[in-house]
Amino acid sequence: MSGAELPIVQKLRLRENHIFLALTILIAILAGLSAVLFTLAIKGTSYLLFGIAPSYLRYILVPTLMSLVTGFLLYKFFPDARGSGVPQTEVAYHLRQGYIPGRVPLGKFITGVLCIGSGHSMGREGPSVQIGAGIASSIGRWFHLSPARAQSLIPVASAAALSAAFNTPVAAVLFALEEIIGDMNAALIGSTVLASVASVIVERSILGNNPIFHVPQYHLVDPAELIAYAVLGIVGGIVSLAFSKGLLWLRGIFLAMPQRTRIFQPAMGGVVIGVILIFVPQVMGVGYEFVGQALNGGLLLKTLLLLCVAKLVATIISYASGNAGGIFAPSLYLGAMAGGAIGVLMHRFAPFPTGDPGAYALVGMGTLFAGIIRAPMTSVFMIFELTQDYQVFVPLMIANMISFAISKHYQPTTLYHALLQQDHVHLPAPGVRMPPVRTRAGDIMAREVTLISPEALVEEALAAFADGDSQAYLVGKDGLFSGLITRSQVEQAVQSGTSKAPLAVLITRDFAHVHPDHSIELVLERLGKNPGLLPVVSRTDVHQVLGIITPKTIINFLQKNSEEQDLVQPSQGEEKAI
Amino acid sequence: MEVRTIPRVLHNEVVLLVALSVAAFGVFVFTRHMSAREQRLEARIAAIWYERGEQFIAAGDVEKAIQAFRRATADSHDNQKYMLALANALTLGHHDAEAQQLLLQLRESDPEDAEINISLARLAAKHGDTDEAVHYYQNALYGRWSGDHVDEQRGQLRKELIHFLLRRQQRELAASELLILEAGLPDSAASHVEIAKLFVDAGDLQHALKNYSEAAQRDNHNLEAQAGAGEISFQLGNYAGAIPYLKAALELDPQSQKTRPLLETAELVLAEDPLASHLSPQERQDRILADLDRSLKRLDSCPEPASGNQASSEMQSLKAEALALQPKLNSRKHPPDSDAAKSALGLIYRMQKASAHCGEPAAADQALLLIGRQHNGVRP
Repeated sequence: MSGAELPIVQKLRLRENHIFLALTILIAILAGLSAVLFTLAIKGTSYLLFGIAPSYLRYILVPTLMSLVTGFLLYKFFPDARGSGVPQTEVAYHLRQGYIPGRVPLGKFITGVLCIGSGHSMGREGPSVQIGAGIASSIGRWFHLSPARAQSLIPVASAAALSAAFNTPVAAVLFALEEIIGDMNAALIGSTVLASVASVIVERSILGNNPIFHVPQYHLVDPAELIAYAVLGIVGGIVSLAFSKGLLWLRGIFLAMPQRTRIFQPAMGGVVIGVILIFVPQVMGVGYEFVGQALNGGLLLKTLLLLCVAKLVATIISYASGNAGGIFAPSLYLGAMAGGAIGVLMHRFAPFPTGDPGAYALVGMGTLFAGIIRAPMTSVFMIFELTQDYQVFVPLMIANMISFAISKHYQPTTLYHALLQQDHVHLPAPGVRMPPVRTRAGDIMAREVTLISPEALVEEALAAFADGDSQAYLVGKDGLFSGLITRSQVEQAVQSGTSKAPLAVLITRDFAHVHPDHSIELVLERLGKNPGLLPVVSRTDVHQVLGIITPKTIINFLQKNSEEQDLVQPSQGEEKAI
Repeated sequence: MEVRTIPRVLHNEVVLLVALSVAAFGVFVFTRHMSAREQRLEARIAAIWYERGEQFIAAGDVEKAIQAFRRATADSHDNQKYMLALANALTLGHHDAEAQQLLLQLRESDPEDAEINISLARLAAKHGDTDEAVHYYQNALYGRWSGDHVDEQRGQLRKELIHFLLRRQQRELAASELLILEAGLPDSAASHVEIAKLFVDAGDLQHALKNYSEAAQRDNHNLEAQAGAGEISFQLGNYAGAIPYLKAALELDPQSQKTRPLLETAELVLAEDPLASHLSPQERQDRILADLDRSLKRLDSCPEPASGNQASSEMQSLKAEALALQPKLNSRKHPPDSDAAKSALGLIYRMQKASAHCGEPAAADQALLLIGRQHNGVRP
């Protein structure tokens, strides 16, 4: 090594934070461009498939046949590309250190374009976020960034993609912080702002500085009108719940069907969507032109109600049947229709003067977004960005908070997280994502796990209990467990003469578990509910057991901890003596 | 050895960043190209929808036209022509709030555009909002026009404004707009007749007469001009002036039920007026006596009102007054001077007025009423 050459080379070498800064801008541009291309591709596909004035036959055939194609693609090649893309992006950020396989953005782009372009009632924003995040993840790997840096690119790309897809840069930043990171005080705020701005500049340089909606000027006609907005908040909360519960219910039914039907499920949804499109073609695809009409008071009460119900049903079917597309746009659509309907009713029947129904449609958009997506700050700023009118804040906050509270009370888990739970993924709730705990379940657990096969006989389990002092064992195989059995269960079974029965009949499935990042306090609380054994499971697959915690493992951990402290104490004493 | 590995690191980071930048630029160019292509496609589709909308409007199917124009504006966001067509269709379909919203939005981007202001004016006129309608009509009249025959279009719009003002009983505003319209009027009989009618509606009979006369001069076979000039002259009390027009109108339309009685009445007014300047004292006396006699007969022919009735006592009093005056006017040596003639005409006027309830007056009685009115009730 030459001592003279090293300092020059060191100066030339780009430090990681410089690379990160450059990548932030480049990824923002690429994510923004991908979002614009995604939008253009959906429009082009829609024109190609439906033409200008489609026949009834086309309404049926296009979503059905295209869903057969996307069903095959999603089943065989891109299983991670189903649904919105926002929950998957959250999983990548929180549980996989920002890792998204390279095929995911490509798959999401293709299947998203085919699904939304063929008439499925879904949004383009969620897929745009996943595509942008997927691109960022791949680029992060090319540059061999540290895991923390690679992880940081996910919200950066999400903000950029959303900023380009919806043309609201501030709301995009808040969405990345509030929904993806789950922390409004995250250190990444600077990067997300930079990415959002860079992306929206690129988007506007291509598509022009046109807002998605031409929104009428907002006026609060009378202070008593705030009551009307409170009513809108209640209705918004109820519609949000209906949407969330309906979606989870129907998706649960689809997921319970045999695995082999998974390939055809999108087409099943496609047939129903085709029938709906014959009667209500306005629910096709993203549907922002009809949101624009509602915002300008251009729809009659019966039309508003019809579109609200039809969109709710169509979106639930499209999403639950496993197509690729988001719920961001449908939630805004539902909000505009529900808000517009409330506005018309208030205009007719309220005993005080009220504003135009369009103003209610506008607030309704934010209200449903707060109720379904559960990102209240994003929803407030998104509507503010659309209107650029400060007056909208107070009614919007009233309606949003009521809707948010109702939705949260009756559906404590957010929709995105509930969807993940249906896929056996337990994402940490925002409040527990980064708790200031010193000891976690992962530190305490014993990694050696004994799994007894469910095909084993009861008498074999009894032998296992006799060999050790454990009060319970996990049942399962190949690292995946399905339940547990206790010593008392096995002893009772032997006494009742069923010692030759397979163990599967005794399995207990109703028990508590923890994840490796859970605190020791939660571990102790949940261990008290179980029969002396607490499984520690993966967040990405709750059937995958990573370790177990028993009273003995806790004692071992505490003893080990105590010994380490004893080693430190004398030196401190010596320092004090000095 | 380490010196050799560091350039590789350099190579990786810098080259990757450069490659990524080039790729980003390439994607940007590609996306721009795709966007332009998409916009051209959308523009073509929007034009198809616009044409369909126009066809629906022509066929009177406003709701379908609205849907078609909506599709056109959805596919071509910035096209003012399509947006304006949608706004106008919305107005036709009574979706006024949305139409106004759209028009105001258009006006924000182009406040001087005549077409946008016209549409807003018509919408305000539809709602009966006079001030706003006049505001937008004025903005349109003095705004920016496009296409051929701009002056003609402006004139038509001003006429529309005048008609609106007349409907809203804003006669003074209408008259002042008419004066502006008159200044730029094409030199044809039809134009003068048209504006003369509007002047009549606005209550400006002098300008109405002027335009009817102009029209009659340019085309003496124009029935409307001749009859109009005759009627307005008659209304203005210029009976001598009315007669030639009325005669000409009658020649053009001998069956006219309106012109003939007017002509007869005008001739009677001229024949019965005792204050006509060309009369000798003797002729004046004869006319006064004849008029008084005719009025007495009109009163006598009147059915007797209930006794004690105020009208009855008034008629009795007038009759007594007339009978007392008759001998005084009858002297051949001392024919009535101008004051006495005026006084007598005043009595005749009051007698004719009092006999208003006595049935339809004859042409001569009608002429006496007009003579009395022409001389301002002729109070001595």
